[in-house]
Amino acid sequence: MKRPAPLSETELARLRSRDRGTLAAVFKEANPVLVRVCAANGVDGTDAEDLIAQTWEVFFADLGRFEGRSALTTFLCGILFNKIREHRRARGRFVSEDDPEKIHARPFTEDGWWNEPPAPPDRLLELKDAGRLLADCLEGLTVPQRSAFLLREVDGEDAVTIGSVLDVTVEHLRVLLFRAKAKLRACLEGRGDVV
Amino acid sequence: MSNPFGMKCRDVVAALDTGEAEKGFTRVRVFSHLLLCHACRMYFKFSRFLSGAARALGREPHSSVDLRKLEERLLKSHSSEAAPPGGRR
Repeated sequence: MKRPAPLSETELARLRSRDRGTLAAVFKEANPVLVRVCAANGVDGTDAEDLIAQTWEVFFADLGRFEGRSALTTFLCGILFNKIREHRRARGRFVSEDDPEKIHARPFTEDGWWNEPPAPPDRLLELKDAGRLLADCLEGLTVPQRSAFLLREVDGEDAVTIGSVLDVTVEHLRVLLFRAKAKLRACLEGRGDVV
Repeated sequence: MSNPFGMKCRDVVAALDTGEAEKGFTRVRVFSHLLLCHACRMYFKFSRFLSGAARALGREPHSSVDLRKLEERLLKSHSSEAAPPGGRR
């Protein structure tokens, strides 16, 4: 999947001058991603709009620091995640961020080989309307798992970027993604909408 | 299961999950491993299915946020120009 490119000097200059056309273009590119990040974190409607507006406020207040080397959406996601954390804190909605390691069966031996090799996904390949079913199954993931999965698979972000956005190490991110996929597989296999 | 190019199943899965498997020499190492390892090949097949399903979700967010209204709000706050009559679209 194509990753968003860093801004060129010209684009950056236009952004700094608050050129209306440039702003409209960057809003159009970045806002769907920001909305998706909000949705993945359980923030929707006017709450999401307010957090995204606050994110842009911070971005424009701090525009001098943005050098265009990182993709704009990546930079914005970093700000938005802080806003989402503040929002949760204010609402007292801190929940367990991830399942404890110990409740999961370990998929690999100490040496790094499979403990239980994955079954062939043949039944899944015959699922009707897999996208819609996946959307339902995503509800069963923890917020970090869902965010990591969507940023990786839908937005095509790389591991380092997602790690910095979610404020987790790449090692932790691997665990999040692996568990997310395991849960999604279990959910999809349990749907019974197989041909 | 042998260990071609020093990659174990855990490393291969991590590379597939994080996208490292698409880069440079890691790509060669991962695909060499996949040729020899049925279990990882099944994981790869599953991962590809999941990626396809995720793309089918589309890039449009499933949310009640009105993107057009949000864009207008942001342009009003941050644009150097006043909004043209009737908007841009």
